[in-house]
Amino acid sequence: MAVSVNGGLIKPGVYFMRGNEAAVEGALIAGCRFFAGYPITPSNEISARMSRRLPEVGGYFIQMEDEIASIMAVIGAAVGGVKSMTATSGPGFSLMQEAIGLAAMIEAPIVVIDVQRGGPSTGLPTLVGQGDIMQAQWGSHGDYSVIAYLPNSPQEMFNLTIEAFNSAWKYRVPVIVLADQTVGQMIEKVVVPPLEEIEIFDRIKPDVPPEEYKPYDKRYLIPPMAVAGEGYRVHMTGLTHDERGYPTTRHEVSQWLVRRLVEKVQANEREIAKWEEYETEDAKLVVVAFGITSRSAKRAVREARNRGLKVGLYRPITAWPFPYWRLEELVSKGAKVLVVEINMGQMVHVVREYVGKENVEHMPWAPGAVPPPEVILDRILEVYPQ
Amino acid sequence: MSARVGVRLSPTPRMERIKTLLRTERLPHMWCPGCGLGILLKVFAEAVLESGIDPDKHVVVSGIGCTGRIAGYLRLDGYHVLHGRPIPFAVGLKTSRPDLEVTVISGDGDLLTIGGNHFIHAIRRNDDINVILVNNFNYGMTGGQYGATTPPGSRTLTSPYGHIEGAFNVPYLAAALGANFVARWTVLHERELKKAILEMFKVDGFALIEVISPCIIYGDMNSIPPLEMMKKFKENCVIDHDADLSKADLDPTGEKPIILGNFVRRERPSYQTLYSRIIEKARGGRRG
Amino acid sequence: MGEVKLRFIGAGGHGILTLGALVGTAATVYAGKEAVMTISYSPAQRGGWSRADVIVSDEPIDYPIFKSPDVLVATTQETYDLESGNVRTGGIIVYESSLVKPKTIEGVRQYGIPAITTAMKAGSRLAANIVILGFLNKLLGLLPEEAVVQAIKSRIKKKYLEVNLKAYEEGKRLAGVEVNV
Repeated sequence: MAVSVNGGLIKPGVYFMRGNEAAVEGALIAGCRFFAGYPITPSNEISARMSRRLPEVGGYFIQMEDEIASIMAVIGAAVGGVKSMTATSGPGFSLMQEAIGLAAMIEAPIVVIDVQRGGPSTGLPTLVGQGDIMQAQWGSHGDYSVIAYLPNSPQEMFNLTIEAFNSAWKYRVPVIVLADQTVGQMIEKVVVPPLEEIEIFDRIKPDVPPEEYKPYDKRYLIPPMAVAGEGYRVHMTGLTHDERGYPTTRHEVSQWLVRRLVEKVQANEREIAKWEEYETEDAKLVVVAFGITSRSAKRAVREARNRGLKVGLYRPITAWPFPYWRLEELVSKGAKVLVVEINMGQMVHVVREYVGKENVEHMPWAPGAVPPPEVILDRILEVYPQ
Repeated sequence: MSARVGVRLSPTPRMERIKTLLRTERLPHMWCPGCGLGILLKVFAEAVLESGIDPDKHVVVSGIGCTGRIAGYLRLDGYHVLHGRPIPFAVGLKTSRPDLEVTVISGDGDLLTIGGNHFIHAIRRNDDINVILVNNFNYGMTGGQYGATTPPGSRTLTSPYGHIEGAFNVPYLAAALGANFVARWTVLHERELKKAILEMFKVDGFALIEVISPCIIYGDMNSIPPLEMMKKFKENCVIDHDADLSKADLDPTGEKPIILGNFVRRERPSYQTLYSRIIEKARGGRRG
Repeated sequence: MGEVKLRFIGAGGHGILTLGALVGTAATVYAGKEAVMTISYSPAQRGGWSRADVIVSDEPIDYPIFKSPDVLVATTQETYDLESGNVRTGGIIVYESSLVKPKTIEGVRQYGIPAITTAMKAGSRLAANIVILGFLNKLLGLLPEEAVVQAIKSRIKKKYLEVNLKAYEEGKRLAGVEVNV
């Protein structure tokens, strides 16, 4: 079933490829050379392909004893300067949360692909869900920021996994690829462009000698990163720390650190956030949908247009940071918003925060299936402003 | 010697050398007087200097707890990570960076209680890391609760009526799991401990040293003053490299001898060594 | 061409997923079309059925999931019974004639073909899925001949290629002789 590649990086061209496998090929192009993971449906195609492909490009694969160990190993590789990732689904993602906080705190660049399934708890292992939107940003205690992408096709599993690595190493934050069961496991056309056309971001290295280097130098929003074995003798700790990386309980240092951890993403949100629009320009109703749901919603929006309704689609490609400004603009021009998501209400809270509760309708949906276009259309007809 | 409280060591050449590996700006350390961790810090630094491996390539990973603070005092690449998770962190670092000499230094609660699953699997997988497990029989930092190495009958903050659980016999456990190197020393056996650490650096695969260290919190609750505990370690020890490890369980509150030694040395190839062969095979001689 | 929705379903080991992947690969990689495939399984890990839903289109495909296929291929009685009622009016069913007793379904054309015996004659019963592919493509004219052959060459191991290409030709031939049920 799997597309075979015959060693080395995948060649440019057109492939009929599974989303989860496309993510692996994207990761390898991005420079990923370490993967640690634990089996969980519906992400297993990622570890299976990684185990075969990583040694072919000189990288390392290891299957750990659980998800906590997996993400810790990934962070360990990252502080050694090796681009690294893991892949999981809801239950495993929950187990990883404490370590995601550690990665955020020590500013270790890591990538986690979460192929969302139905929950809560063991839930629906083989069926689709989008219930990890809030967990992706708020899953660990305390204040920090992550970047989370929302692919809606195998092509985007490829593209956004590359982008996830670039963002992780550029901003030194945990980056989540929030896929879902359908997008991860569906097979579709994936175009691999020539490698020289793909932008790859590598670590910003220190430009000072070890004796002048501070791991969290106050002059930077995102400090240059020395890695293990380079002679910089860095100390990193999950404790609140000063610019030398040393533990402290000083209030002003804590405030400086936590603010910076949040601002790293916030101050760059317009550069990081991505979205796509369809027929929004004159829309009286804008459907907000992401991941696989956006593809059903697009069909529903087309159908609504066929019936003469001014309906558009706004598809966030990043959940965090959320691309709110353009949505605000559409609402300020008079549009109402309908949020459709495979959960009982997560992204809707973010949307309400920006465009006002009175402007937002919701279509919660959690049967372990994608809402069909005709069901979304019914809801569109219900809430369409007269 | 200065008149102030504590002992000021006059700087000998040996001390000066050790100081190059300490983050002296962070001293004095946060450990209690009477704690054994300061000795381990010194012995480990000496071993690094004598290892013949560039200190730039030595990495220390610690978890949470009193012992976990060691990484923060060593002027090496050091990572103070989550409670219970230094082993998988070290495994990721070592696997992806085979050029590094990675040592985990952490406590019994961190490595064996909350982190027990990682401990057993790293040994089974035979990861090429060094683990120095400091056993002080309780959770000192949080006030002295019982853990997986607390001997039955002990009084702790959470076993005021006496501890009713069994304790891990660490060398027996590690040997049974297949560790390539298993040793046990106390912080009072400085020379033997240093030798064992130097030996550990040479092992391909999982290498473990259990270091027994006095804890005044534990001592207080079990009516053993710090000096008496030290004395006990000194006088009650039996060095037996060929000991029957099934009988090597510990009871610092009783009279049972503490069995010490370098018990196990095996040559099972590590995960990382075997994986390098997989890479060779998968690449079929290709480069790039 | 609008969207053509194909559903392949059969027992594990009938090469259902390969069949779907070959259609999708021929369409996207070798014919410049769009295609998407979703896979589902019966709840049993082994010994159950597998299903591949494939949409082929000239335009980008919004939504990969469908209830009613235009074309159903079923290779066992169980899967035929499960899915034959879902085929849209005016649609087509192709089934393995040695394993399936068909029902009369209003407004649906049905073709029973001896894919397994045909494949055995070509050299291996495992190539029955390729017989079906040949039959189907000849019947529907869905994809350029060359694209399908290329897809087979790209996905089938060299040592089985000859048998499979033969099976493909035999499948095409069946399309000329099989009767509408």
